[in-house]
Amino acid sequence: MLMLLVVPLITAFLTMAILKHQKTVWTIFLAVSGYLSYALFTMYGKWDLSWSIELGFKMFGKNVVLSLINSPLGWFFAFFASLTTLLIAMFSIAYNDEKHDSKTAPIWLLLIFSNIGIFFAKDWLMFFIMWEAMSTTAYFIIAHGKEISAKAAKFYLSISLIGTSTLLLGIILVSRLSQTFDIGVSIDSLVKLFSTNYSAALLYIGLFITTFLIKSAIFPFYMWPSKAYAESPDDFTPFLSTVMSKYGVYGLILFILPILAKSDLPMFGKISQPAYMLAVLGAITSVLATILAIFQTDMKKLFAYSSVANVGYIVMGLATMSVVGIQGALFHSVNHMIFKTAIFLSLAAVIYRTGERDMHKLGGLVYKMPLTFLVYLLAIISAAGIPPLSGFTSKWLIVQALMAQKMLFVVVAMIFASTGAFMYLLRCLASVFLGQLPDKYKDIKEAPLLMAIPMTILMLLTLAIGVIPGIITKPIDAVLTGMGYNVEPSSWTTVHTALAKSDLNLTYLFYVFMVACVISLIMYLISGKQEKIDQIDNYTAGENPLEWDTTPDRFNFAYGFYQPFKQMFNPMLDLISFERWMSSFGRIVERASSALSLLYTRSEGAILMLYIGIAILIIGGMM
Amino acid sequence: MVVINIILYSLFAILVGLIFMGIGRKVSARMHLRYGPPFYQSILDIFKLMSRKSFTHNFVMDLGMVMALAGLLGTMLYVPIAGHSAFISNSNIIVIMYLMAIGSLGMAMAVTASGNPNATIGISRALTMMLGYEIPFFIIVLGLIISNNSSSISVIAASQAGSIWNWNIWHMPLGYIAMEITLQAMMGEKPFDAMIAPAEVASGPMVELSGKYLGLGLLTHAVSIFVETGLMVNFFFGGGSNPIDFVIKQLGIYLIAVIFDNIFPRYKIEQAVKFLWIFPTGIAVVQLLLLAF
Amino acid sequence: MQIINYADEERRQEDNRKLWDKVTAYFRSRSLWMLHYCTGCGAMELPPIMTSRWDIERFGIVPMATPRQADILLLTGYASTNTMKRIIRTYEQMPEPKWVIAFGSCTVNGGMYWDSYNTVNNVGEYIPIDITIAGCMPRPEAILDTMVKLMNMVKSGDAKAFQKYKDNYGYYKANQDKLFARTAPVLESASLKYVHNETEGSEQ
Repeated sequence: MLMLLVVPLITAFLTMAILKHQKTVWTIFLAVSGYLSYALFTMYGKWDLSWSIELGFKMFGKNVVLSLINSPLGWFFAFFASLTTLLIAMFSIAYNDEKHDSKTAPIWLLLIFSNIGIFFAKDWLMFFIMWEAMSTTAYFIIAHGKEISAKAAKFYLSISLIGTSTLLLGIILVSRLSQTFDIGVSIDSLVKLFSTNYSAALLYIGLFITTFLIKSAIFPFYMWPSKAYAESPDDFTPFLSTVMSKYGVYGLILFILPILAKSDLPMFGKISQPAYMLAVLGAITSVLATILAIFQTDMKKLFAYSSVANVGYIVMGLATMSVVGIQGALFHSVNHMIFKTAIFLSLAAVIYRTGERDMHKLGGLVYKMPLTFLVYLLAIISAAGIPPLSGFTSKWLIVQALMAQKMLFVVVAMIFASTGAFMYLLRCLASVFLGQLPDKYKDIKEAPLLMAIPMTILMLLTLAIGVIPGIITKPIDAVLTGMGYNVEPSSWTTVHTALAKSDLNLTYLFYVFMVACVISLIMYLISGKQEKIDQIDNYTAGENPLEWDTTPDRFNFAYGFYQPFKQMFNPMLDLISFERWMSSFGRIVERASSALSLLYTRSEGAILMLYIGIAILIIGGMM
Repeated sequence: MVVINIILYSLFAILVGLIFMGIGRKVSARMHLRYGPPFYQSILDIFKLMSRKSFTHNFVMDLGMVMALAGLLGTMLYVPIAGHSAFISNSNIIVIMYLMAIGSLGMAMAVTASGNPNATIGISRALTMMLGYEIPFFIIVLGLIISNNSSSISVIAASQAGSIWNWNIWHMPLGYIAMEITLQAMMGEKPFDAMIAPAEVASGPMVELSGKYLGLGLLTHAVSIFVETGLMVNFFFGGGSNPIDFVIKQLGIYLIAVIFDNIFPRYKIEQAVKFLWIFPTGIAVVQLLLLAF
Repeated sequence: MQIINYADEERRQEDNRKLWDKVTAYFRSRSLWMLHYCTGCGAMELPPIMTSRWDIERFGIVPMATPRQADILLLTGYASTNTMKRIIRTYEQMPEPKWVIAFGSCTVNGGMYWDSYNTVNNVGEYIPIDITIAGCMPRPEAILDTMVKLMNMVKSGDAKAFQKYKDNYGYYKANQDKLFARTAPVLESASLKYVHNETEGSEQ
């Protein structure tokens, strides 16, 4: 178990020495990811593996112990995160050639080191050390040496530091209460605290909830992904969006959910009040992020908001506190990793070939990059939650759980966000891949082979999980049993729910859809022949647009795609804008800190400080 | 065996959908005080379209249109027709809602691949309208699910068995009124047909479809009529005791929609979405609160 | 109203097409879709035939919006030289099989604009015509009569003008090029090109 931590750490320092040979460095990165995935795969089922080290100094009467444990929940997140990292590493080898190299492989290895540590930590100290390491290394990767990226990374770091401070405060309070740093024991002591001192307990878990919400970008901290994801290196964005947004979710499941399940809390309908609060926050996040995503023109910002909305679904699923809901939330975590990585990798391939991030300046790329188009198409079918691909199963589970717990307005918000997702996913498809091909992109080539392989593997994975959901639901069984719920073993093909007569056999659904496809294909084949015509040959009321000097990219309708929708929402978004408040808060902090720095950077301030220091010394010496 | 069942049910749904379209045209014509085409006119149209040559811009058009029809056929197979269906299933309503999205996605993909800006404008309007009508539709469905404690359509239909006074239209009249308005939007009839506005966007998504692509599009529309009216019959009209009864009830609902289509002018897209989010949603929310408490 | 055409009767005797072609021709004849594209003043006669009094939808003929969806192209009225270019482009955008109906006397011999510098006197030299309706304007009963004749022609397989276009394309193209040479601009301002400056804008 220790090797899981040591290997990335040592490799990180090794690769810093040979940073000049980029290809070797990224190949080593791929090798490390492969090793980690293999090691984690062999660790399934061995739930009593652990490692601990006893430090020299004492706290609460005994030596401090840092320990790791192979719990089912931690294994679940760590394994799928390492699989995703393996596929991204394959992509990175091809992506980081001389022109696009981001030179961030060593720091990324350190980030993976802290990644494993967070998921397997058994006590709060280890958790906090790894949490801090993760935040700081992520800052450096997002900045990756560029001016604009550094500004965006500063935004991320400042919000992240607020989260870390509340986490530290929470850890101190809770460990003083339970007299130990162990996570399991602190859960029990907080459950006891809820029955004695309700408001203090609420404050304690409020601190933890704040830090997990900040890390997963839930309302009211949903503004940082759009800046951070857009400016980070293109092959790091999938990792940032899929793996790093799950740390907050992991924290919620690990710590908050058992407390809310076992404590004696005031109820609101069928679920407790704090859980309902969490569900409402998740609902607002999904709806707001979906609406904001529909307005974007930059493809990475659009999918940043989409990631925020998806984590909102996961939080809504968790807040139902039922077996089906937690199953749905965990399933959606894995699904989100698969389809979001596929989307971001295909967009990274497009940016690699064309260098353009604005959607309305591209178009018609299906002629030049058909494989990328297919990968993107299957990924958005999965993201929209359409059967028979994998995204449908998790959304179905979450909706069924919400309906069974009678959380009416939360489930309406989920359907709103789910349908709105359709709008922005199709906008990117129509603007980037379909439509007219601009003249300046006539000579671009398909994505290179090493980029095509991970994208194809992701495509096949999403199809496989969609047809046979048992691949994911069986590990989820182990997680739920480890958490204390008793579940009957799930089948390979059917998903169950709490409502009556509402089970669903997904393999059957796939067969039915295939037969329907065959019928439709027969209807297509027995009809008349088709003739292929040029893309610019369109119905334009008898005119020929090229005669009027209209170039193909001006003939493409991609700018202002949802203009009527935006006009409906503009007045409301002007009134309540968290971004304005937060940037004004940031400006106040910046002014105060620059005023403070004047004290020691200018000579008059320095002399003033010297006199004050001498005065304090004299007075202190006299007393 | 199941495959033969599926083929037969698909042919049945396509035929019924096309004949409904023909009867709708006849009724519209009689409302305009003229004779109108024979009731089998849509079948003739489909044969003519399939036998024509067509133009295609790239492979995405073929893929998209085939996918759209496949999605709608898959949706149709999950709707119970008076208790019968092609295979044994639970006919889960959430599955049907998400499968219907394949139809829109396939058609949207195919028509934007043609590169005509009119088609893309039509698709952006169609998707905005979809967001508009899904909210009241889902709120009504949520009320039905909660009052039956099951998300299976056969359970909802079976709970109305017995006499005509058991139908949900008497238990949930507000839900029925909201569903009527939402059904207009789902079927793309006036006043909510900003998507296919011949004078504004040159018939929107259909602008570049010719020959068999237009034929597949019309087939998709026919099956979607069958699915949507079928859902309405199962939700509010007792589900029907045999297939003939079911089809007659579907025809009644479709003719009400056609009559509204002939009377009203067209909403602009933002007026339509605002209307759908205020009035049917409000009525549906009142109904939901009445049912839940 | 029974329309008897003795030429049709004769031709029906020697109908030796395959069964599949006959069935297809029947379906095509009962569902002709016309393009709602109106060249000249003859378009005034289209609304009367589509509305209640002389209902053409009972024959299956419906107006459609784009040439991709339509079978029949109606040349209603005079065709100026500029419009002829658009008519030809529209005709070529229609998929096969397609039919052209020439409405009004202007398409036959120039009608009342026979000596104008700007109109085309015999449209049949530039586009193959299936059937012509004379009159300035033709009465709706005449239009319905022509539509029924066209339906019968399609059913019996006689309406093959689109085939004639493909076989004699050289002849038609030569006539069209001679016509369009007349429409080249003479003023200098017509050859100025519009230059578009790309503005850096983003929606948000």
